[in-house]
Amino acid sequence: MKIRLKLVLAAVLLVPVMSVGVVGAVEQTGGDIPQTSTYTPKTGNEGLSLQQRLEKRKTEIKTKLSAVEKTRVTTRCKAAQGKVASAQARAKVIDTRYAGYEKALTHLQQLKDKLKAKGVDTTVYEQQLAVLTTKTQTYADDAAAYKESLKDLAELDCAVDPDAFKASLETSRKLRAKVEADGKDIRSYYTMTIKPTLLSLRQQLVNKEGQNTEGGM
Amino acid sequence: MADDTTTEEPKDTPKPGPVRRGVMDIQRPRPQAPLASRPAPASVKVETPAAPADEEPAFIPADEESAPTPVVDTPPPNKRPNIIEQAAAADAKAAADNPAATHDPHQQMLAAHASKKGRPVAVIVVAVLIALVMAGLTAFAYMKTKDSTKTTGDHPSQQSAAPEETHTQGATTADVDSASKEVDSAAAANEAADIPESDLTDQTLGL
Repeated sequence: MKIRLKLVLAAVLLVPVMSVGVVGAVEQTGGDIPQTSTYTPKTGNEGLSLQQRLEKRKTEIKTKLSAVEKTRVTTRCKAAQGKVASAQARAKVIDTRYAGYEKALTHLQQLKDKLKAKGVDTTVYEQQLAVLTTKTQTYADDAAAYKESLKDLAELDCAVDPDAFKASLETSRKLRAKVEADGKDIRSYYTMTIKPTLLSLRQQLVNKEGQNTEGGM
Repeated sequence: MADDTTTEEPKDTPKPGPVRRGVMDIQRPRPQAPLASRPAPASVKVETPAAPADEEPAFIPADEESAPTPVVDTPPPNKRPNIIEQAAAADAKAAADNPAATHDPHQQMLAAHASKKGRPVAVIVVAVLIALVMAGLTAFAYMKTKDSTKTTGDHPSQQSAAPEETHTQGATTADVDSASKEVDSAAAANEAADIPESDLTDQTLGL
């Protein structure tokens, strides 16, 4: 009776700890697409099953493995899939990066509204924001596609279909490079386009405030 | 040594009344004369204050006293327990009269043990309550966070409209500086380091 009471007590005391774990787990499963995002990323494979995605990649990549290559991939791919899992875990950082880009974009859009309210000309700035929005969304799409390809690469039965494994690996490599390029593009746009525009807008604001002060005098 | 009975009593000689009851009356003189020559008393009445009324009569008939036949004196088995019972009853009565003033150490120990026994149950109840409260708070916090994210995710137009309503006062240079800082912070990202090319090379994967 005493042991049963202790077990019940231990179980009840573990409830908060377990619930925290469950919350964390649920949050992690939702990590494929950033939940705070206002934009839902598109992988280009919506509605397709794993097999359909693999077939699609095989057609896109058009790589045919030789008999020797097939044998090598078949014997080594299981171990490789374990290493893909670690790459998958590392790829979760992309979500954080995307969240940063999106936060900056939101901040810049809020600034646009404030500038408009102040009577500052924001025509160029708005065009630049539209471009930046597209770039950020492209980044989100490519990041989602990259993570999907890694997931497929880790889950597919590579011993049965080594061609699909090879095609998925090639797709993952391409998408990784694309995500890297997208990030570089966004950062370049910040420094080369957005920042100079912000400086210009700041100067306009200073001039406007100066005019208002002089007018008030 | 001619007459042993005058000086010494035999071991198995029955003792007078009070001795039978386990209470020795040292005041009572011992018989000096031989039992046969001694005048037989009509009866020896022993008064014991604790003796209940229903006990066997405390007098010895003369014919019994005069006969020197050894009698195996076996005290009634319920004599001593009766005394204990009476004492216990007296204690119980005293306790009933004044329940606060229980001086019996055994009862005090029992009471202390009972109070100690009750304490773990209280501790368990408190621990369970704390655990349930913590679980509830966790669930509540999670649900609240989930709801807020869902709302922003489901209605992007509403989310973008909200800042317009709150920030229609007009921009200042501080707002521009703040936006510029945000851009700098986002520009600190480096995907080449986050997801290195080497992750998916044939060498790394062992292909």
